[in-house]
Order: sequence, then structure tokens, then C-alpha cells
Amino acid sequence: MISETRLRHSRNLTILILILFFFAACAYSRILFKYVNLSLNAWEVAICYWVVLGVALRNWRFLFTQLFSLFAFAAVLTVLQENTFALTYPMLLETTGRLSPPVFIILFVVGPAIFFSFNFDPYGLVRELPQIANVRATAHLLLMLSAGEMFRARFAEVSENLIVRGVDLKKRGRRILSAPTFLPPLLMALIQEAAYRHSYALMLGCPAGKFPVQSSQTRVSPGQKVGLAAAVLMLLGRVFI
Amino acid sequence: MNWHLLLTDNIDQLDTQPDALVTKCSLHFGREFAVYRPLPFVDHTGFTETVEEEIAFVIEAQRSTEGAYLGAEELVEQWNLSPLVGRRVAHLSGGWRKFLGIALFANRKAPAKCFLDVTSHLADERMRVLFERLESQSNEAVVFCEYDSRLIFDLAPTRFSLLLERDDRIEVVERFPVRGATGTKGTAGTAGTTGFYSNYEQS
Repeated sequence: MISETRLRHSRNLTILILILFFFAACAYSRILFKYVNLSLNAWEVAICYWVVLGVALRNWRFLFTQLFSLFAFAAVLTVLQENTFALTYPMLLETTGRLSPPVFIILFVVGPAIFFSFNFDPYGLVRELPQIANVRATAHLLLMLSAGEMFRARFAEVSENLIVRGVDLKKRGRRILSAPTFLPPLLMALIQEAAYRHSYALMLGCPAGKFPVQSSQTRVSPGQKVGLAAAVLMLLGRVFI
Repeated sequence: MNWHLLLTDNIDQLDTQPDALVTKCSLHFGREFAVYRPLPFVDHTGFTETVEEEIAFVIEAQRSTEGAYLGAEELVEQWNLSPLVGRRVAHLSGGWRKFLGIALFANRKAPAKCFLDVTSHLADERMRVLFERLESQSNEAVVFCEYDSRLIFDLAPTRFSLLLERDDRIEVVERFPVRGATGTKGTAGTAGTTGFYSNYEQS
């Protein structure tokens, strides 16, 4: 029955809870490590946390991006602060252990943002946001949020066209070498899709500004409620400890 | 009979100047046309995830403006879309995405509709479903303009009246013009204009 309201668990809420737990883990790590006599700074805690999540979610692209970002940031920061390219792990720990604004930004803003962007459900987010924000804004927000999916779909079409014409794009290495061949049509396809989406909706009789409210609702599971409450309480509790 | 098949000397207009064709139709019929044409790389509003969400979304939007003939469930049933329910629109093949768009377009209420290039990528069976559905909306004037006009004509030969677009006007013709008889284009079967000339009767 398609008119029936569809209920599904909010994946985005789970992602939010996991991010809150990351903040809680960083907040409590110093206290905990005193008791277990372990020395890990926030940068290492972040690496451990994201590795565990990346493996648990089997999202290898996220894991690679997150680790690359953390290590690249630490390397650049160390080179700038120590004025040397002879990097060692203790030097990385020393520079990332100083909780300066750049370290805060990479750990507590960029890291969670990477996790969010690799795992969130754009369609779910647009269903959930109308409850707290403007409906029209969220409908258009989806077009921006689903850019990754748009890119993958267009890349699949362009690469399929090139493969039947004898250009091998199946292997990753080949793809990089063939970038000059597939990038122009891919860019053209993306620009055309973005330009024509509005015309398509108009053609079907969906004028802008008259987009209906999505009828689907999101279910919050008991586990999510408990997780959210626990994460918030842990963060609030850290303020008083 | 409200279905018309528009033949043209310059079939490239379907890609390059579709608006000019539609304007001529509007002038000929004296009414505004709602136009369907395949847009490059777009077969999805982008505001929904699954087929049923897309259908519900578009129909709800149509009802807030000119109106829609069928509700979401009826549309799925009458357009034979039930195998697609539950699937993501982005994961459908190009032909099915196009058919879904045509179904949603045909479902909107409009005094006249113009279908440009609907036959490409669609099986004959899908075209027959389209004709069946259009028959239930008999009050509308419907104009088709196709690269392969003969193909669509043969699917419902008794339903179409033929129109010929020539220069700046549209005239009614009784049968497919004889190839090369108009004298407005070069030799028969010229590359780039094959759609038109291949549709003409052999002389």
C-alpha cells in the first residue's frame, strides 16, 4: 500500500548519537586513562574511535578518508611547528597533544563532519527536518545533500558509455589515468542534470513553492532513545566532574 | 479523434528547438500545451527516494495546482508499475525511469498535451499502456512528435490524425507524405534528418 505512512528508524539520529559518544569519549579519556595508567591524547582517541566505527560499519572509504585526514593534519602541523620534514610519531603526538584551536577544529569539527557526510541518509534527513525547519528549504537542501548520489549515478552512466566504446574504467588505476577522457562528459552530465531538475519537476506539474510535505515519519527506537539520553547525560556530567 | 502525430521537415528541432514546435502547435490548436520531453540526465525530481514516494510526491503537487487524474495507488495499478514499488528511482533502468516520468506527466490534468520523443527507450508494450491511459482522458488534445513517427503510428494507426509542420505553419495531411515530395530538404535519408525522411512513404 503506497499511501500508508512508512516508518523507519532514523539513521541520522544514530549517527548523531555516535558523534555525541565521540565527544564523550574524548571528554572522559583523560580521567579514565589516569586510572588505567594509559597515555593517549585526544588525537589518538579520535583515531581509535573512528577506526572502531569504520570497521563496525564496514565503511572503508570513510575509514581511509578519516585516517588520512587525521594523519595528514598531524604531519602538516608538525612540519609547521617543528620546521622539519623528519617526522616521528612522538613528534606527531607532541604537536597534536597541545590543544590549540587547529587541533580542536580537526578533532571536534572536521572529524565528525567527515563521519556524518560519509554515513548520513539525505532522504531521511529531509524527512526529519520538516519537523523542526522550513519544508521548502529542506526540499531544496536534498538536492545539495544528494550530490554524492547524483555524482555516482552520472559516473556510472558515463563510465558505462566509455566501457562499451573500449575505454577500460573498471580498475581504479585505469580510472585515474583515464580522467581526461571521462571528466569532461561527467562534468557536462552533472551540470545538465542540475540545470534540468527544476524543469523536470515543472514539467510533471510540480511548480516550485508548492512541494508537498512528505508524509513519511521516522521512528525512534528504544535503543536510540537510551543512547541519546546516555550521550547527553555523559556530556553534561563531564561539565561537573 | 484527439490524437495527432506531428511530422516535420526538420526533426532536429526535437533537440534544438522544441519550444518552437510547441508554439506552432499552440497557434494551430489555439490552446496552451503541457509538454513532455526527455531532459538530459534527468528522470527524477530528486526530492524523493523510492518510486512510491516519487509518485505520491508528484501527485500531491499536481493536486495543489491543476489536478491529477489518478491517485497514487490507482496510477501504480493502471500503469502496471507495481513491480517498481519499493525500488529506488535512481536504481531503475533508463527506460523505466522515463516511463515513470511519462506516467506522471500523463496523469496531470491539462487542456492539451504534447509528447516529444516518447518512443525512444520504450518497449511497444509500454507505449500501448500509454495509449490505453490516454484513451481514458479523451477530452484532451494530444500531439506526438517522434524521431520515428511511423513506429508510433503503426502501434495505433486508427487513432492518429497526421499534421505536417512545414515552414512556419502546421497543416493537416491525410497520409504520410511521399518521401522527398515536399522538396524542402535534400536527398532522402540524409544523416541528421533521417527521422523525418525515414517516416515518409516510399515513392
